[in-house]
Amino acid sequence: MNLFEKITNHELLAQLDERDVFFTTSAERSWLKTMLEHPAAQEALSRATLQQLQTLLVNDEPLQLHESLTEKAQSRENQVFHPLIHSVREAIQKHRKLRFLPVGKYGVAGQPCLCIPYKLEYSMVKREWYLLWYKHDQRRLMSTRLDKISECREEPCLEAEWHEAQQEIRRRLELQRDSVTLEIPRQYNQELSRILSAFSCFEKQVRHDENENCYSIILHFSSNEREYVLSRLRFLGRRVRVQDHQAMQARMHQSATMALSRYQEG
Amino acid sequence: MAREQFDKEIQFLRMLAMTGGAYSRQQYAERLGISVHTFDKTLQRLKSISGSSPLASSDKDKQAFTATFRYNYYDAVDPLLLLLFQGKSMKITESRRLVLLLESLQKRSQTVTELLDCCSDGQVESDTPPDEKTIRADLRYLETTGVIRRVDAKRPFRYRLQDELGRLTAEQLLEIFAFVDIMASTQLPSVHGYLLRDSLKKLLMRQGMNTEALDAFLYKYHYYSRILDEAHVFSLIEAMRQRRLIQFLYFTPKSPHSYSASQTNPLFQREHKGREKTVLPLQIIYDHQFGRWYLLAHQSRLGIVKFRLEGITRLSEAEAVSEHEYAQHRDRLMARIRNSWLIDTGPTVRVRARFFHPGAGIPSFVKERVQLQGQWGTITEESGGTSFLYEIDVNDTTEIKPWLRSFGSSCEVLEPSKLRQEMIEDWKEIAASYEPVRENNQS
Repeated sequence: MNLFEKITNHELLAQLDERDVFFTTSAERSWLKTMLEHPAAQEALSRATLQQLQTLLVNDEPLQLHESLTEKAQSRENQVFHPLIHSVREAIQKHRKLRFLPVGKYGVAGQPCLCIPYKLEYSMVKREWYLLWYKHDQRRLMSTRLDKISECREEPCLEAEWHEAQQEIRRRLELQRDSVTLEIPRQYNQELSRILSAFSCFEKQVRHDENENCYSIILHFSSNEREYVLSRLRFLGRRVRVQDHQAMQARMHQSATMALSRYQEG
Repeated sequence: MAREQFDKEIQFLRMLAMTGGAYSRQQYAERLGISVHTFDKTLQRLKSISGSSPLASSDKDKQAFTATFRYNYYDAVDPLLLLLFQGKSMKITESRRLVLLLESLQKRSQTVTELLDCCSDGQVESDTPPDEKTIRADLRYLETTGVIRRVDAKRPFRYRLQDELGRLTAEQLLEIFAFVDIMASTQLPSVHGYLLRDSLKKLLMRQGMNTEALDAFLYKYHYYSRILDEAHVFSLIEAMRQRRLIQFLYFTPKSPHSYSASQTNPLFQREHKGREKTVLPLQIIYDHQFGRWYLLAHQSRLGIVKFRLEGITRLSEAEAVSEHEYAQHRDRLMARIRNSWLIDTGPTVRVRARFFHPGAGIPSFVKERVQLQGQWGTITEESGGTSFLYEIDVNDTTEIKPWLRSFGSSCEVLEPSKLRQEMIEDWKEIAASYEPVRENNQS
């Protein structure tokens, strides 16, 4: 199976799009058939759609991967699909609000939430789905695990209110942006590729000081992701050093001294 | 097998994605082992695929374009690096002809003769009309890639487009689109899923669907450049299926150079030292900690050898080995990596660590994370309720160490003593490197 086919040439596909031509390749169908074997297919697709797909793909072979491909160090796959995904996506599509009851550890807790949904977010680390929404009355951006949502239903939303909310969401996302400059001590230059891989899931810029042969990374993230960034910094240990973020420097120092005190106690 | 010309694009895109903004054109070209002229040409080609504006002439503008390959979370809904797989070149006449053929076959099933008429009627005036042999070759290609199929076995053969999926209802297509989007983003492999997602998205947009609904999903902490290495994955899987040896030129990722122009173009030749390898491929490993791919293989005299897929160029197949020989090597490898945190095949050691709960009344996110990421390790609660023990038999301690360290003071390594000592040294050095900061903050 070759991934470089002229049938997926971008110019050809653009012309076919203009002429309203749709097709699938056997490689795409094989991939789809393989994915239908995953338990998530039963949850994501209605029985009728699943059956129709299985009929359409009857002559295609699934990819034979299990003998040749192993995945290591992945988080346990708690959840790939969530039953609320289709209805939330539909609310976003139709510009509707959602009203739901938050679920706590011991069942439904708190007041009903009225929200303007804007994205569905899957964490590759936690392997869970989250609803990203805007709390209009408090002008706050919120994130709620789909598992913690019950009795979710659509409510109408004025188009003007929807658009105003979208602008506000963009503005608030911008306000939440944080950044940190990380310095790579020169003795770890040989591990640059590994260090950059570890941060490749973030928005970043890399700087190279040619005279000193020193690399630094400017990492951009949302302020509510700081804990994850810190865990990534601890993961890399001595290979990176926070250069310009006092709060994060203090946290790294605190982690190190507290960890040392554990060992002294032990 | 991936052809040499794409090796260059793969290395090129990886370098832009990973280090966007770090280097000047000259430095990029030097690291890629190509000339500045080739760098500019490749950049121009990628720009045309990604639909950007024509090539800007200044170095600053070029840097701005390389920056577009940087990851932007809220705008990176469509996988930008997918353009690597949409770059196979074709002649304009061929692309016009294929469009005519596919458009005709979408309307109804047709024979070669009927299609020949269609092409003659619909072609651009300046093009020479295609002959039957050309049409037959096109149909053979389209049939091989599964884009069209023969309706039945009766001669003359009638062909039709494989477009049944697109005939489902809009509601079903949305359901499938969401499924494809989620699976391409959360499972391996991804590229075919992303290509299908792309076709479905265009179809739904033609049917009037707004992009908000189609771009509603985000995937956090996703190693998006992982798809570049899928270029090699399928070639390797095919070689493994056929029990074949493979040959390639390997550039260790620690080298400052990641590619070398082939000698067919002596004008721009920059032959950096890659190493010729001939190995029997046995297993591909995807590492979720760094989003990287490895090839584990057998090499005569050396035994088990490991390569990063991103260092592999000029991959080609060689002769096959017997099933018996292949099974022997594979079984040996699988036994050796059973306890690998990632790919380490060193001696197995027992690691014991104490993890501390965050405190009374706070949900134990520490335990949740250990359960989620601790692979085959076991967890035992300790008396007193403030901590739990984590035990795992793992090959050497190098690969598990960063994960244990990422927990900071919530984790104390108990055994082996060498790892415990290393952790103490690490923390001492980290504390010392931030020491002046603390003093500054206090003063």
